[in-house]
Amino acid sequence: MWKDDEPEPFVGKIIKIWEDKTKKVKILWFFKPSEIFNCLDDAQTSENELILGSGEGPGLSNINPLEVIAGKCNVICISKDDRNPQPTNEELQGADYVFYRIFDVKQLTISENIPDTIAAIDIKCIFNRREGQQPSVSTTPGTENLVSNDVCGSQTENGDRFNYHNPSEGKSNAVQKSDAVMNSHLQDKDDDNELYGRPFKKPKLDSSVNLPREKTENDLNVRSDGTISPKSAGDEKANVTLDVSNDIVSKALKVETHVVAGEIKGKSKLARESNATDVVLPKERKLDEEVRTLANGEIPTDSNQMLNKQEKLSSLIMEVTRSPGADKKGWFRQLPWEERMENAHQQGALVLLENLDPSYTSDDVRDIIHHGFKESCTAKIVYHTTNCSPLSGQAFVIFKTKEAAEKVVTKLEHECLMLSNGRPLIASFRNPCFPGKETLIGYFGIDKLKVQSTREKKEAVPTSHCSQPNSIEYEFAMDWCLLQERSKWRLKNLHKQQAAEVKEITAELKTKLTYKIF
Amino acid sequence: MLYSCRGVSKRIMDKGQQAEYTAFEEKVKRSVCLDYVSPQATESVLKEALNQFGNVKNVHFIPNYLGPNTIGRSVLIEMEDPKQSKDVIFTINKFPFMISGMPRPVRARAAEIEMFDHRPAKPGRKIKCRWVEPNDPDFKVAKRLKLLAKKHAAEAATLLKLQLEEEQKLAAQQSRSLRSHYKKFETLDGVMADGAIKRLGNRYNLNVGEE
Repeated sequence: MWKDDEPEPFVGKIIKIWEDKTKKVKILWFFKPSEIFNCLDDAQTSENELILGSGEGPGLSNINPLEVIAGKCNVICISKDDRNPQPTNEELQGADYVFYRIFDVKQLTISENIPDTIAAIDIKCIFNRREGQQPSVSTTPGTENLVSNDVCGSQTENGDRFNYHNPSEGKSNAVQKSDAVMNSHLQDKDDDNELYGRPFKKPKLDSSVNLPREKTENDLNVRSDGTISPKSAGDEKANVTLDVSNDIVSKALKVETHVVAGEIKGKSKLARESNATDVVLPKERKLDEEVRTLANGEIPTDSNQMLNKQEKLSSLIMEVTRSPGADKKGWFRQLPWEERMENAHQQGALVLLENLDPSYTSDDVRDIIHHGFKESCTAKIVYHTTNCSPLSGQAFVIFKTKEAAEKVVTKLEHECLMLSNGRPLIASFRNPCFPGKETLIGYFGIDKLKVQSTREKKEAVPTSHCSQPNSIEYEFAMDWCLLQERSKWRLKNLHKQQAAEVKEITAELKTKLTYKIF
Repeated sequence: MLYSCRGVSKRIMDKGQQAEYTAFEEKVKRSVCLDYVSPQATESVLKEALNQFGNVKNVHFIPNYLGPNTIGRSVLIEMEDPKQSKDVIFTINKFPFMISGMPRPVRARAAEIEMFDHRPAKPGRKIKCRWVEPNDPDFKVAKRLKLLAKKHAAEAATLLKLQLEEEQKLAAQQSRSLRSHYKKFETLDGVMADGAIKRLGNRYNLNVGEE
């Protein structure tokens, strides 16, 4: 096991240390998945995974002054190669990073087959150390033995997806990084302070709801500021390796100037190009405030209704089986679902059921209603779209009569029909929106495309395409992408938090329905 | 009201159901879900657009009964094999892909089982439910759960509202900037067209070529 480094991610393995006029160290680099994203087709990497460099070429290793080393960290090899002693579970827990793949810097490919030597080092030294092996210490220049505390250089946060195909861009390198190391820590702190003081320029909503948005931007901003610093230290040495993507930085800055709104948008664009899921700063969104405000406003009144029902409800568990009406369904030709829904809605017999398990089908819902209420109905699950919570599903149910529907709704309000996994069913009347009146925000054409008589203009037919970075369209698209990523992230956090809340309360259920739906 | 317990499950796992379910799972693996698709994009447009990636077997629009009207549509696309659908997702997420050529790019995700409505039931699964009495200690918990679910729905709705507002702002801003660009373009064009530029050129003794 080697110890590598700490604060931000440039991790490498020391190959040798020596001193001629100054102390120098040669480092073999690990790549973070985000850096070789271009070559990594499937984005399935775990959070602390690294990829070892191999092959011959620039980017594999380079020589730095000893000062770049910032600290140690623990990297474990989890490759299933025979020569690699498998780590124990404790070791895995204690490891800061893991790796099991290599990236060939010449061919730009990733593979799991580890060759015999990497950078002229026997691969045994790179795999996990066996028990009892003492690493050897070497101080003689020119020999390539591994040093005991393999330490590595660290760097400022660099989540940018850089274009690996231009390694010759090379203006920044480890030396520059080392200068930046000192700066980055200070700078990050400054950024934090600065950002909290920044005024909120947000839509006029509940101030509580502003919190998540600001936090998002904070995160994005500190990151982006972090990447600008390497650019400022402009040293030049050959053999560049992991470029801090100066080309992307400069491009992003150019794009920035096009932005009209004077907000922090420009910087967010920079950050957008980095992997949006790679947030280093704490992800906890403080939704508490928002939640509290909402809760105050939204507590429905029926919680105050104390139920004094004298009727006895048996709490026997019912198993939901296919209701008798199920098979008859195919016999009668029925109107398409939408029409039926509309009719039912007009009659008042359309009910929306919520808090279902997302894996139910329409038939399941129908059966549940049948068993619970002895009513027959037709049901249809509402599709799971982007914005839906992954925790619960919904379904529309059409009853035969309005009375039946109302009866079901009131019953579910006052009493409790509990499904497996502790989910009480919720019913309500809701207006369905019917397709046909849909629009899409952000979708506009040029209405003023007049055909001029002096010039021949073909009717421009917009086709489906991937936009190239040299058009206005591209900038617009980037804005939208940013927005989408942000909302995706927010939703994800919201759902995470909601799931935790539900779990907490569900745990208090005394009688658990032990048969789980899988 | 007393309900009796029905003990016998009629959902026997038989081969037919299992096979159906596996086939369905395959289908899910091959499918991609596109969001934010403009309502003006028709099935043929989508087919053509995605045929660049491979063979599109089926296009299915997901109707949006509950959501806001301005969020565009979601479409389920079934490709010929899982590799193609992976390609689609990868490319669309890497580059902004615009269907029908409009600035708002679509977004692609791998399809999930919940997105299909005609899904066969997972074989061997049983659903249980029960009525909880008011004097059952679980009743209070259940009530809290209900409340929580409602609260969550409200939270989600607010978030959605916020998102829509942001989108509208962005759209307004983009439309303004687009208009201003177009104006510039028009003036340039106009100037070229009516020969004013030639005259100006002559005046300044500049050589203005006809482009």
